[in-house]
This record gives sequence, C-alpha cells and structure tokens, in this order.
Amino acid sequence: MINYIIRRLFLTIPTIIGIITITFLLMYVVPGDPVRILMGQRGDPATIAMIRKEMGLDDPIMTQYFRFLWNILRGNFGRSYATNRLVLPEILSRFPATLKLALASMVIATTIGIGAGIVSATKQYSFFDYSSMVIALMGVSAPVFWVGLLLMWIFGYSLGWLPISGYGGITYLILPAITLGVRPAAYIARMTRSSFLEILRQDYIRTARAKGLSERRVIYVHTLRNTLITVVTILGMEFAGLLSGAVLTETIFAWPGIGRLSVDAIMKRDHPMVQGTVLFTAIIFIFANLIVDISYAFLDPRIRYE
Amino acid sequence: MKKFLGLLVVILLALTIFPLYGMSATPKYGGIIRTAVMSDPPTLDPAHITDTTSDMVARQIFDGLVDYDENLKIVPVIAKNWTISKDGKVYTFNLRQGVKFHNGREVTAEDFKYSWERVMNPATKSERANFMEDIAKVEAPSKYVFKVTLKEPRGYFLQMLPYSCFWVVPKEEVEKSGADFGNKPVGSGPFKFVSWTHDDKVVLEANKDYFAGRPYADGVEIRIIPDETVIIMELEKGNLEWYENIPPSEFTRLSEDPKWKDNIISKPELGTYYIGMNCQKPPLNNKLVRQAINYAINREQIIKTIMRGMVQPATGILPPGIPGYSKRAPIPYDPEKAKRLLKQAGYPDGKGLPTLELAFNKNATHQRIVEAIQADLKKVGINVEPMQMDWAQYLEKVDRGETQLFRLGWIADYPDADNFLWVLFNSKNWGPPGNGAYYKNAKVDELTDRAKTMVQSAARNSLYKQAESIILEDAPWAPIYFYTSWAIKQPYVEGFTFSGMGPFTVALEKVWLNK
Repeated sequence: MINYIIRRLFLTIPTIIGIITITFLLMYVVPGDPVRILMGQRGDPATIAMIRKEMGLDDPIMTQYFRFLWNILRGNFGRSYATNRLVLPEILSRFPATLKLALASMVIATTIGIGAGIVSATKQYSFFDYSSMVIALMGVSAPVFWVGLLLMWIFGYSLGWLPISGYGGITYLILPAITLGVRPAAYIARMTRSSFLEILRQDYIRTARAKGLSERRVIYVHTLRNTLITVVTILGMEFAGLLSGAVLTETIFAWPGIGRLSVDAIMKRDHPMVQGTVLFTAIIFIFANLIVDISYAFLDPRIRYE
Repeated sequence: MKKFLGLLVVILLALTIFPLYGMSATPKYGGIIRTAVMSDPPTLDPAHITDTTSDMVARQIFDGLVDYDENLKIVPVIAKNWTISKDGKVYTFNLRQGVKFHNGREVTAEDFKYSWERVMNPATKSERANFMEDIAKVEAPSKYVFKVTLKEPRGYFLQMLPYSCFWVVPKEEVEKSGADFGNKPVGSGPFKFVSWTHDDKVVLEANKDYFAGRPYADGVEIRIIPDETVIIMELEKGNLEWYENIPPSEFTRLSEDPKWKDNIISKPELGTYYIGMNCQKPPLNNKLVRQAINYAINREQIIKTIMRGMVQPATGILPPGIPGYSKRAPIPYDPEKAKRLLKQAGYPDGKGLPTLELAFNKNATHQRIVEAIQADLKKVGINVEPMQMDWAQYLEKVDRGETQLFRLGWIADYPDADNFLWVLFNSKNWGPPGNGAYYKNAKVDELTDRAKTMVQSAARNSLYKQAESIILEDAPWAPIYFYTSWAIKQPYVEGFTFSGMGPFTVALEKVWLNK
C-alpha cells in the first residue's frame, strides 16, 4: 500500500507540470492584456509599455515559462497583476472559508443523500420513494443561484432568522451550506438508491437473509458497506470540486472563498493568480482521487494495491 | 395691549424656533457607517487606483491638496490656498500646518514632492503615471510650500488634482510596507485603516486627530457583496446605512415606497453612454451612414423601458455640469430621415449594406440596450449582429479598431471638457488612449489642442463648443444617454452629500447617524 501511494505521488509530478504548461499556454493565447485591464477604460500606450516591461511580459514566451517554473520550484508564486498581492498567501487566506463551506455542505449532502437513498431503496415504490426521488430530481435541476436567493429571501429577508449574507459564525454558514449541499444531496440520494437496489438483488444478500440475519443487519452491514464504494467516489469528486470554490454560492452570499478569487483572476487575465488557483485545484483533485482509491481497499477487501 | 403684544412675541418666537428644532438636530457623534461595494477594491494605494470602488474606500484614508465641493468647485483640503503664475505654468500651494499622517508625523511639502515623484517613477508601475506628464518639476521650497511647474499651461490642471494619484502618502510607511502598501494603507484622511478581509469587508476607524475635526462616526465598514439584489435586501433589513447605486430593476419599487422615496439622492453624473462607430471601416467611414444610425435610435424608448427613466437622453457629447457644456436640442428619433440618409449614402432601404457587428461587454443591461438598438436599426434597413465579449477581450478589440459598432460609456476623470473632447476625439488618441472610434478631423484636432493649453475662460469654452458641434455633425458616436448618479440611504443618515463626480466621492466624515 505504501509503495502504491509513493508511486501515485510520483505520478502526480508530470500531471502537475502538464497542468501548469497548459494553463500557461491558455493564458498566453487567450485575448486580453492584463496590463491594459489594469489601466481602466483609457490606457496610455507609453504607460502600458512601461508596466509590461517592468512585469517582464514582453520577454519571449519560453523565458516567461521557465522563469515561472523556476519560481514555483522555489515556492514563489509571484504577485497578482491585478492587486499586487502575493498569490500563495492570498489563496491560503481564502482556504478556511472555502473549507468551512465545503465541509458543512458535504455533511448536509451526505446525511440527507444517504438517508433518503437508503429509505427510498428499502421502501421501493412507496410514497416516500416517489416523493424523495422527485425532490431529488428537482434538487439536481434547480439552479444554485435560484435556490440561494430563495433561501435568502425566506430565512434572511422575510423571517429574519438568519443573516442574509456575509462571512462570520455558524449562523452565516447555514444558508450557503444548504444551497451548496442541495445538488450533491440529490445526486447522492439517487446514486445511493440505485446502487442499493442493485446490491439488494445480489446472491449474497439472499444468502444473508436465508441464514436468518436481521433485516437491519442485512441493510446496514451487508448492503450499505458495498453501496459506499459508489457513494465515496461521488463524495470524493464533489468534495474536491467544492474545495476548489463554489463561485455562484460564494457570489450570492458574499462568501470570501476561492471560487470568487479564481473567476475574478480569469476575468482580469491575472496570470499569476490563475496559475496559483489552477495549481491549487489540481493538487486538491489529485489528492481527492488518491484518497478515494485508497478508501476502496478499506471498503472492499477484494481490492488490493500492489 | 401690553399683555397681547407679549403673547404675540411668544407665539412668533415659538413659530420661529419649533420648525428649526424639527428640521435639523445637532449632529451626533458615534456609530458605524456600513455600506457595500460590489467588488473587492483592487488596491488602496493611491498610485495604483484606477476604479471608483478603490477610490471610494481610499478617499476616506487619504487626502490631497484640493477636492471638489458638491458643485464641482475646487476647494482647499491640505492646501490652505494657492497662486498661479501669470503664464499659467507655476502653481504654488501653501499647505496647512499641523496636518498629520495616521502614524503621527506632520504632512509637509516634501511629502507631496515624494508622493508625486513616486507616481512618475517607472519603478512604481503606476497606471496613472501619464496624469503627471504635463509636469516639468515639483519642488518643496519650504516646509509648507509646494511648487509645481508645468511644461505648458493646462487649463484643467487644478481640476485634475482631486484624482487619487495626487494624494499624499508617507514615505516611511510606503518604504516599510513595500509592495503591500496598497493592502495596509496609511494616510492623513478622516479615517484610519484597521483591517481588510478580501472579498468580505474593509474596516476603518475615525481619525480623532483629523485636521478638520474628528468625523462624526466612530468608524466605517465597507462590505463586499457582489450581487446588487442582495445589497438592496441588506439595506432594507437595516444592515447597511447607504448604498451608492440603485439597480434599475429595484428603482420603481423603492422610489414609490414611502420609507425610501425621500431617501433617494440623485445628481447628474459627468458621463455619456454611447455607441461608438469605427470611422475608418467601411461602411461606417461614410458620415451619412453614421448620421443615419444616430437618427434611427429611439433613445426615449430605451431610457423609459430599460433604464426606467433613471438617466437623461444624450443631447451631445459633453454631459451637463461640465465646464464647456452647451445646451443642445435632443437628437431626434427620425427613422424617415435615417432612411433618406442611407439612400443618399448609396444604400436605399439598406440594400447593399453589409451586416454590422455591434460589440458589447457582458452585462444584462448592456445586452438589452444593444438588442433595442438592433431592433431600431432593423426598421430602417440596417442589419446588426450583437457580439458579446468579456471585458478584457472587448477592450482589446476596441483598442485595435477591430470593431465596427461598439458600446461604451465614458465617465469623466476630472470635470473638464478636455477629458472628453481631446481624450476621446483627438486623432493623437486613436486606440487605447480613448479614441476607440478612430475618428479624425483636422479642425477638431486643432481646436482641442489649442483649448488644452488655455486657462479656464469663456474663449476656451467656445473652442470646445465649436469642436463638439463638428463632432456631432461627423457623428463618430451615437450618444445614447447622460448618466445620473443615484444613491439610497437610511432615513436616519444625515449629512450625506457627494460631488457631481458620483456617490463614490461621498465625504463620510460629514455623515452622522440620527438615531
């Protein structure tokens, strides 16, 4: 297992270099000059030329690329073109807000999703099954900004039970976490249900029931554990996605997370910040994948990593 | 009789005193002024500010030599008074004594010299270095005298000075913070910087040693809320004291609500929203086609249905309130005249006219305006294809002259006709410096070049009037509307005023909370 993890970690190096290179090239070819954007609507050509020179943007592309790689190797992600702030501290300063929101929404999504999925599967074709699956379908389809504004209008504006927007204690977290948790909850519920139903039809479940195990044990030990492989895969990817920012939810609730930072950087052609946020996201996805793969071995003893 | 007269005096006194008592209470100290902006300020370093969001926050922390009053008149701030040499080239500012930076050190002429030279220095990479290009030298002949010598006289020089790049910064703090000065600014303004959580809020506290007396409020909290619907919800719930805009979608409701209708403040803003036309590209290189487009647009309809009457139809290039503005008749909506002009240009009923691209940057309101213009132009036989782009890509396309028709708005950097007519129409400024229409007329060039070097006078204004008339006849733009600033405040917010430059120029030190 340890060898497998080390091998996987080594394999991430070419992946990361590939991601850096592709992002660098994309930012280079996409129209829009970061310095021109800094100037506002009116830009004095001499001033633009002076700033581009100072920033090294006029150097040949290969010089810029290797300078960038060399700086990253030394842990220097540079300063944002748009704000002149250091890239890495800026990303890290947003991480607690993003992590809080991601964790809270995943707790909501997992609890509701797995719970509703199990009940739906064990009571197939019941009223609960139909209604929860219709709600799940709505949850998957409902646009995030609509859910967010609706929740905000009911619980923040009309009832005044919770803050409308902003970043702060637990009360500020509830509405954005629900907004962000709705779609994964619906998705998890649907996947749990179908996976559960499939496993319930397996021979080993029939055997478990035939040997006289209680229904409770059949469901929670024999079926649930096998369902978890599917659920963990979804959870891993959803969580990684949430950790790299949830721009719509962050925008509606004025939550200072990584999503807003990344989108703003792209709009302003802020190359160092785009590189920083893309790299950060890539690393999160790589590790999330690794953790999901390792967890398979714990969930299913048949899976072994050599 | 004596008794009666006595009673009369008492009644008269009561009538005099009571209305006054009801009208204006004594300003109260204390409380926090909360407001919101839609995006995180890119920087709070005066050398790098180019946007009104950063300006609004930073102007609470910094001061300059002069500022605008409510009517855009130049009033002293750190400069006590000033003299201008006869040739209009030397400005000598006498500074107030005892003005202190937030670190306790006194502001002197050397600080202004340092601050302005810092903007000029290429190593600072100031986006507004070109604002200093008229300056030959800056000197500090004594502790409280700051002298500026211009290369040539500039009629608008004083009007430029409230711009953020001319504010004063303390050298020792800039050197201590280095590139992070914009993150933890130290100035001499009415509020001191306390903290900034990016994309969340900026917190300021009252500068109790402010030279003009401490601000009424104890502090200011500026939240960053990217969605205006949410900002209005927060305001209505009492979580914000004021906001610098009213979205058109909320305007009718708020302006009819008894709680808010008397707390909405509007002022003409020095800006013009327009459709630019690339004068070098056929068929728009034909003046008649450009004129036809001008007559084919129903401005009144756009303003009524899309802008909810929140702006005024443009009658020219220069908005009202700017020196040199001349009142003109509205540009008529006359589709028949547009058709006649098209015919004269060789495109009867638009036949032979290629489909024109109308570029605009992504924004719901711009899109609706562009679609309305597309429908208007279609009626006279001009086919237009809207092209939506993000700001960065859009700006590059306009700069390079790759557009045919394009949407833009211009809001003055400083209140002077030069900032419109020279910047946007002089052929020296083709492309990024402002003339995106790639317009060239030798007479306009000559008039705007000449007016630039003249001191403020009726003769100078008359040159601008002539230049504007020529431009309107040549029609490189179809001006759509003149901007109006809107702000909304809580009923208990008193002393809230801003200059004609817009609500971002609000002087929060004069605001007090009557609750």
